[in-house]
Amino acid sequence: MPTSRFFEIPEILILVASFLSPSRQVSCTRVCTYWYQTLQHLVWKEIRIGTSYSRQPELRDVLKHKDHIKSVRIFNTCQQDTLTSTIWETIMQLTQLKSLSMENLYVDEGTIDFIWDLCERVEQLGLWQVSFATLGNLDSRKPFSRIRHLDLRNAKLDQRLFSDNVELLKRCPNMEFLVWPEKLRRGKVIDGFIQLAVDGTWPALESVWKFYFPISDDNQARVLRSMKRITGWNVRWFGPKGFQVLRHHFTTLKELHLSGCKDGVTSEMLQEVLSSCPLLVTVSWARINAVDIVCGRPWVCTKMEDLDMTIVFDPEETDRLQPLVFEQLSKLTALEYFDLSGRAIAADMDSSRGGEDEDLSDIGDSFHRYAKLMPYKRSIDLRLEMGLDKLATLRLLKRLRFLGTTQRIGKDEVEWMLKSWKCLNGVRGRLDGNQDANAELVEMFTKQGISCVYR
Amino acid sequence: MPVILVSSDSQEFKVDKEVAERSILIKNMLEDVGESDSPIPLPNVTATVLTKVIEYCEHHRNDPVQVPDETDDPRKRSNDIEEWDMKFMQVDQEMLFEIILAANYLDIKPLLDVGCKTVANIIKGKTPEEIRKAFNIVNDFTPEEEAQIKKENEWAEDR
Repeated sequence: MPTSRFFEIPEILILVASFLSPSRQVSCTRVCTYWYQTLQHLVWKEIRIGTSYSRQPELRDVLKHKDHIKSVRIFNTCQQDTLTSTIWETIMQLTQLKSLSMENLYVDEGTIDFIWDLCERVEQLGLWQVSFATLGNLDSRKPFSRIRHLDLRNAKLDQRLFSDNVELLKRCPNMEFLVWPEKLRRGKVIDGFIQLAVDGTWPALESVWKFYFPISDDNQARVLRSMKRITGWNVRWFGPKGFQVLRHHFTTLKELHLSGCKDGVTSEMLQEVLSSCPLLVTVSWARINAVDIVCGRPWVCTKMEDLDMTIVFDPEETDRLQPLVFEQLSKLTALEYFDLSGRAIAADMDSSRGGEDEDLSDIGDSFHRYAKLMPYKRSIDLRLEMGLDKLATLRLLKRLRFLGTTQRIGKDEVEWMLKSWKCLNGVRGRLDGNQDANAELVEMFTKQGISCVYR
Repeated sequence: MPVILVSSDSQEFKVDKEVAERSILIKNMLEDVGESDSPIPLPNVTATVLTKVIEYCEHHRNDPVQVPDETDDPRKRSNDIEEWDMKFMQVDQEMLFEIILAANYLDIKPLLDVGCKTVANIIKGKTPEEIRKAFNIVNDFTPEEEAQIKKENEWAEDR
């Protein structure tokens, strides 16, 4: 009977389950003993421990699955919560551990050895709000040569920021991805980092993410030049020297966030990137001029999933250029998140974007500052007669934002959007200047379960 | 240049080489055999299923070849099946499974993925009992085992 033959092939059952959410996978393990045996390793690929979680796995079950668990997330509600040494000893027994992230931990003499032992084993390490009372025997240890992915957010040593002496960074010679959204401004640390990069400490470094330290264009260029291959760059204060180096890496570039670099980044640069980087998945920028899009080479970034940029039109050319711009946009068939507002940072409407939205308290009221700095002459006109229907190719579109733009969206447009964008779950921006008209259109969205907000 | 494929029930299908080579298994066979015209036997696939598979390959003949994902854990979703594929997969369960098994045997990854996503969409939103009913699966747990497994994996439901 085909049904049983079908599920008897483990690879097929696993492939089916891989398209399900973790909680659905859990339901699958309860179907029968064969499904349980085949799918347990998927459910137990990552475990979460710590006082932030209302439900946690039993330690004896963790041991039972020590050959399945690849990733451990430790998350305490506050730093005073400690983990028992039994928990650490259990984690040490996991044979397949590749990724460890810790949030809100206080590391003292009792735990420091466990931490360094684990650092010697894992490929991905995340330290968020972790305070180290001591560095233990870090000096006498070998470098953490397995670590490829390092995510440091406010890791502190003895109340000072850990990164103060780049001690940990120095010890990860095979680092490929660095995420470092810390708020410090100490020139010494930045210089230390730059020097280490230029000295070739990290020959495999290919992506630097959320690097918010002030760094000059010259220094950026020096760091970029030290990188053999660049797939991701998310650094403020970008400029032409850095861009010149980045040009050599257009074929490998996947993620580019240069919002916040108001003066260093030009519309022509963005057009060049969009028409030269075939692997781009995420781009966030200040603004691009419609005339640059239309006069430039065709876009090649068809893998784009997340695009955040403002398109600016001069009032005289608007009608002529709108359809041509829509033509280029229609190439982005993989697009899921489209923000035309030109804001530097995604805000709070849907915070479900994989946790990449960072703390804004330092950046401040960026959107409104932006809007004042870059008054919109005319922005893209989301109407069918202007060419909106060309965007029917954006079949995976989930979120559309156009705050700060003037729109004259009508019922026809909304109906078209509902018909063409089946994955849409959020719209943000004023659809029509008239309050009553706007309210009616909002209702058309919310009736379909699509959130629609204009602030 | 046509290629002749023969189903398990001895029916012959003439297809363009480009279409047949969507199947990596067939592609490799053709490379080994070289210039020969001899028909390729596919003992694991019946004529009705092979018809469907060929239909899929014809429609997708110009698709770029899928490169395997570099990352260990690519973000997987099942809500991005294109319209033609969705209609193509609107068949009874038996045929759905046969298509997936054929795609697995013939090594046609995009068809395998679409098929498995379709099955995943059937599973979505169902309790274990509803899943059993949907696929005619017998519950072979003892009540104790069932309770133990429920407790063991409970924490993972929150994810």
